[in-house]
Amino acid sequence: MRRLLFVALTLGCVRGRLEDQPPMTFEDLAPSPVSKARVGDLDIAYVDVGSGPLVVLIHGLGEHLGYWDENLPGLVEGGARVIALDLPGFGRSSKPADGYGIAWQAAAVRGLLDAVAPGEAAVLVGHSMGGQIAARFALTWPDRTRALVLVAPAGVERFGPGEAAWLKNVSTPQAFSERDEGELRAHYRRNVFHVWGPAAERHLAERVRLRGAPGFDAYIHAVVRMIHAMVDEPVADELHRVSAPVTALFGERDGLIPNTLVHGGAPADVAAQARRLMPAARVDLLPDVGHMVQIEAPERTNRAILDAVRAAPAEAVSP
Amino acid sequence: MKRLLLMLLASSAHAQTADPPEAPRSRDDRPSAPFPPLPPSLPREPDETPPGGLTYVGLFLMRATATDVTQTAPVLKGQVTGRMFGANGTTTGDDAVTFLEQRYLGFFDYRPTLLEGRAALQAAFEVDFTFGDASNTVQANSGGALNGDSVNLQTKRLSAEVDLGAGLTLVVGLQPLADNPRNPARALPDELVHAGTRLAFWGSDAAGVSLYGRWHRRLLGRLAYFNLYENDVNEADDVHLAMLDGEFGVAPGLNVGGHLWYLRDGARGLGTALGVGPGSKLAALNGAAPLALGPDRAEAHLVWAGVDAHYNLGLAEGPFAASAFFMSNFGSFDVFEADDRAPTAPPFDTTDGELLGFMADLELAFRWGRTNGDTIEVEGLYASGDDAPDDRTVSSPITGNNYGLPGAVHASHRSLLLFPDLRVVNRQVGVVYDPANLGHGVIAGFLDAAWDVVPHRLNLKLGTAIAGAAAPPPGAARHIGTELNAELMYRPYPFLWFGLHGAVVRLGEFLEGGRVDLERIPAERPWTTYASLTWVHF
Repeated sequence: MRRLLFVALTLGCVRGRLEDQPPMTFEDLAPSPVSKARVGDLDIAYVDVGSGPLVVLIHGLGEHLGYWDENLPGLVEGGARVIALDLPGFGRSSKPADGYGIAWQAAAVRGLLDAVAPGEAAVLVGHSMGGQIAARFALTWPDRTRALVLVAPAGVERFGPGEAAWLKNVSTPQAFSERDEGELRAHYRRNVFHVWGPAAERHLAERVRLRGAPGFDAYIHAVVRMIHAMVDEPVADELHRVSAPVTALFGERDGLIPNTLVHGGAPADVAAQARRLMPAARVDLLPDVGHMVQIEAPERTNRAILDAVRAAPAEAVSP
Repeated sequence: MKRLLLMLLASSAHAQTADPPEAPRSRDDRPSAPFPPLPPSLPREPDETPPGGLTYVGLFLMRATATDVTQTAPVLKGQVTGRMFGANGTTTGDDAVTFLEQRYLGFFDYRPTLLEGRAALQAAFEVDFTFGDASNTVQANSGGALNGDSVNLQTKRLSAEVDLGAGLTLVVGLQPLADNPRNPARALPDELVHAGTRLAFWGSDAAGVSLYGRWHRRLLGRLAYFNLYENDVNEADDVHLAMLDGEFGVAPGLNVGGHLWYLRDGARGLGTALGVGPGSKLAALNGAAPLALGPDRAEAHLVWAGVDAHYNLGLAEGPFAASAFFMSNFGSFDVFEADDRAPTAPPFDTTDGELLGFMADLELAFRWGRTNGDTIEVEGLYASGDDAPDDRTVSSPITGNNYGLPGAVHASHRSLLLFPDLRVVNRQVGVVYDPANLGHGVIAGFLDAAWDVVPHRLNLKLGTAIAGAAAPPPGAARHIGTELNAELMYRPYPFLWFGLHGAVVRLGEFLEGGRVDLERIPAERPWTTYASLTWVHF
């Protein structure tokens, strides 16, 4: 115990503060370069790699397309054309003052596909909030959806009207913009990542160093609006209507699902809920994996995505 | 790097082989498309609201207790606090006594929007009700029953908080008093219980002025003045406390702090019915550091100087956490003759008392499971003392328990009877109520193991605590007591907990040799069980 404590304290002492590192801008985010497409009045950043059946990767709240870095090479090797995008408000995409919403983001994804893969149906992969957006996309445009892969998805857990109102009330721009390194690190380690590695440290550093960057306030605005949207635009009770084949992956050590403050309980409870809502879906609970399933278990995630690609009908399934 | 190269190569390959997009190109040759028409969605309210407004937080606590700890001093009615088997008349009986009590704390924070949120009026009020007894010594409706309503509203906070800019915040008025450079009104409970000197020296509320500073997100500071007792408004016989505290983050998660406090006690042991200060009856009631003056009185100049450090507060950085403090306490007492307590009377030069004491505490925590409810915590506490405290020297540390009832609430131990429980209303007793332990000091160890049976919903904790005197009287045993305790907490809804709690203490032989009323030493082991409802709402 004494030795462990010594090691812990020593590590704590030698590691520099991220806040002391030079600030970065959204344009500094990796991977680089990215392409941009014009959708309506918005610039949407994306990478488009590989060739084969189309897979679209939709990131979660506060994230950007770099949160798929661990997955892109494996998916390309697996024979897929992969488009990963920065949703509007995040990463290097436009950060408008208005708009936002689950359906609105799904429309932005549709707009991007119209621009870079017109008429093509895709396997949609969504992480966390991206899962809820992907589900809305699949419900709205089933003809463009070959399969749906939900990775630690939001939208399965239900929130009552009072719970939703409370979550919106406490989700203020101030609550997010003023988080310092210690608070962010605590959040990332306790709730977001179960397996702490270089990728986790990288994304924490990005978040800390972006504070004060041009567009940071607009990014926080997007975070808040999308939290509101997640509770205002639920999909749980419509998931049974998704006509495309569905795969859902949950991390057994997820610290965000279920919501620890509002509901408590275990991720297995939400996985069980997913099975009830989508009886035909393949639902896997991955042991020793947290909320960042695609980063903490990239091979397992890629296998699930490629399985969905192979199993999906060549054309989108009509509802 | 390999992955990145592969990705770039793949990107380039796709650019060469993919069919040209059919979507119309914009002038800068980017692919483009119109924003698709939105499916129907719910309207949303804008999230930009002007800074300010009224914030309310409420804390409701109710407990139903069965215990063999009884009190035999009828004058105290429902207000039974302090050291068990001491002046409060507590002892154990053959039969269990039961009682029901409840507490409500309401916190208001109002920030006028006109000031852009830069100033706040803060107020907090406490309503205590002990069914069938008086509350907070309000006697009018004692007897309870159907008309047992009480006038029992206490003002716990009434202060103005003003942002001065440059990282400085001024708080003026009745406010929380803690031994920590953080503003208690803003700090998280973890920051008060596991940082600074952990409320072991000061944990109450007091009227005063505090200037809090926070710079570069790693340096905290506080300069504060509190008037702990206003004895006679016409005389300079008050109790004043000045505090200077700082904390510096030397590395992520690792903070070190320093504390320097000065207390001028001009009350000469008078003031409340029990008086205040080491020479008062309050010290005896709480088991705090005593100054045995007989009929004489004393004024005091007290100084505290110490350091603290904490690593990984709230287990944010990983599964290990540590917290420690060392606080030394020195000073002097000017003793006055018993028959001349006038403020102008000169002290006895030859009988002045001296103080030299210290307290040290180390706490380690390990999160073994999924949540912070899956933890093992071990804590060691040492408070200096001497084997003959009945003289005009003080060898044990002075805490707020010398000036308040209670004035300090060492909170991290999680013991229920050996040390005072914190989930209380009007009845809070402990075999060791204050670490000074009647001047004999204390050596104590605490071990708690907790398990989130259902993550964030159902938690089981088993704990043990053992305490001995640092300096028992000559010929007396050191062992004060050993406690076993258990708690089961169930959270059906956010911020609402049902709890079942129980503890039993095996008393040691120290009490028989210590300065306690031997008639109250029980043959039976003190025990307590209670069910609780705790609800925080906002």
